[in-house]
Amino acid sequence: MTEHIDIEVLADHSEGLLSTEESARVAAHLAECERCAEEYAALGDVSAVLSALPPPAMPSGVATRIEAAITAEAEARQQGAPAGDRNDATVVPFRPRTRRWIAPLTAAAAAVVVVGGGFAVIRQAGSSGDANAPSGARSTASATNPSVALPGAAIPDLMRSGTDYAPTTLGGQVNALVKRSKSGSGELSPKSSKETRRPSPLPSDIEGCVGRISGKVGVRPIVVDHGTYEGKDVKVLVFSKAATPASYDVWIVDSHCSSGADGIVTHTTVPRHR
Amino acid sequence: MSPRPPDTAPLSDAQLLDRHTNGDPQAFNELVRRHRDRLWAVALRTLGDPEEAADAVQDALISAFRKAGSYRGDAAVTTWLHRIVVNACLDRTRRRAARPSVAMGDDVNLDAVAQSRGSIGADGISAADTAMDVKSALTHLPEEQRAALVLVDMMGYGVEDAARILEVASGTVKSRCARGRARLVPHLSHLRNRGPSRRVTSEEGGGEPS
Repeated sequence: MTEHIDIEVLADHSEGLLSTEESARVAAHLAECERCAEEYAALGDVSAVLSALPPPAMPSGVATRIEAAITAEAEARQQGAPAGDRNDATVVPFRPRTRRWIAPLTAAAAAVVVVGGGFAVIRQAGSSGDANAPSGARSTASATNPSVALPGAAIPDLMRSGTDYAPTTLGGQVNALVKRSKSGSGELSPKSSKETRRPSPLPSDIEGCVGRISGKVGVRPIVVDHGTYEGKDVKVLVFSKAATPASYDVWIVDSHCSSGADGIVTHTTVPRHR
Repeated sequence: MSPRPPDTAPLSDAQLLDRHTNGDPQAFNELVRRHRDRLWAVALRTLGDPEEAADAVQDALISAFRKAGSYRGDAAVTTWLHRIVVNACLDRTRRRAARPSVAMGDDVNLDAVAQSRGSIGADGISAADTAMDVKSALTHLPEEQRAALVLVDMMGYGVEDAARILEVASGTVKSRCARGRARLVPHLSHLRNRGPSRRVTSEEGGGEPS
């Protein structure tokens, strides 16, 4: 019996990349060598394992974000340079700091009065891809896409307090959380804080979760925190709803929430401290 | 801009791209909606990180939006889109390789988990575990081999299509697939005999990326 054949040669053989001669030699060897035949089968199984995985669909949060970015790009194109002249400086620059707009950022400017989410205005302004456009122009233009618009903070404050939330202490913990967050610090003047306060967008997996729960509540949360609840790693989403100004709507979700399921651990309201 | 003609057959990708270059503000988003799931799967599998994948796809699509005028029709629109996305992913991989590695978060595999949650095989191992193992195995591959295997084995595109996407000869795609599979064998051997075995050659992956 000849020497065993290197697995890379076997792989090349399977792709027909060997010369006729060498290919014949490998085939002859495979016919009589159990170990190499086994290796050759293992190569086929690699393909089988890879092809058996269903391709993941784009999460809705990512799809929404990309659609918003393209819509912004299309608006900029219409307002800006003619299509043939798109490479010069009059074209709205593609800014890394603002491109990761996950949330739709659309009806926020109008909704801010209702829900008191002053942040929406700041974030909205920061999101405009066009430095020359008044900040209100964006919301007017994109209000034509109602499917993506939810009032409230486009980008809630994302915190990682690690708080161990419990049913009996939840009210105090949530109020403390909101107070610690930027939403609770009371400085909502868009003019003074536009640059320094521009928040980071949510990671896409968290946005997927936040978007899903927001759809149920009807507004975007003001704060999202990572902590634990009864020993489980959870995200705590705090909503401030115009209809119930004396309380916070609190949704606690587990890690499944980011993955397409709701993953709701509990949903409750807690009194809002004044 | 121009309203859609009523009651006609759906526009082809090329027609949509044409409308886009002629100023139709909706056309490009419509094109994206058609292909985003596959573009996403390619990016997520090539990069292994959903946040990076989202950034890569967005970067790529904005870039495609801007340079649509330079599309010459020598490849299918979807091949062109795939090419831009794959290049954006490979750029990111290279940049990532140039800086110290960062541990990925716990949420990294959630898309894969979501896809397969609940489907537990006869052997008691869920498809989610398989997805995790595959993702981790793919990190052992050089980027070119990974990209080739993602397109051919995972997405089911034919070698010719993958070659057009990657802008290399089809022999190069075959070679990258072969080397990649050889390298994956030790990392995936524990998953063997799950599901039907199939021929090893990539010739059969005749799916059009369209």
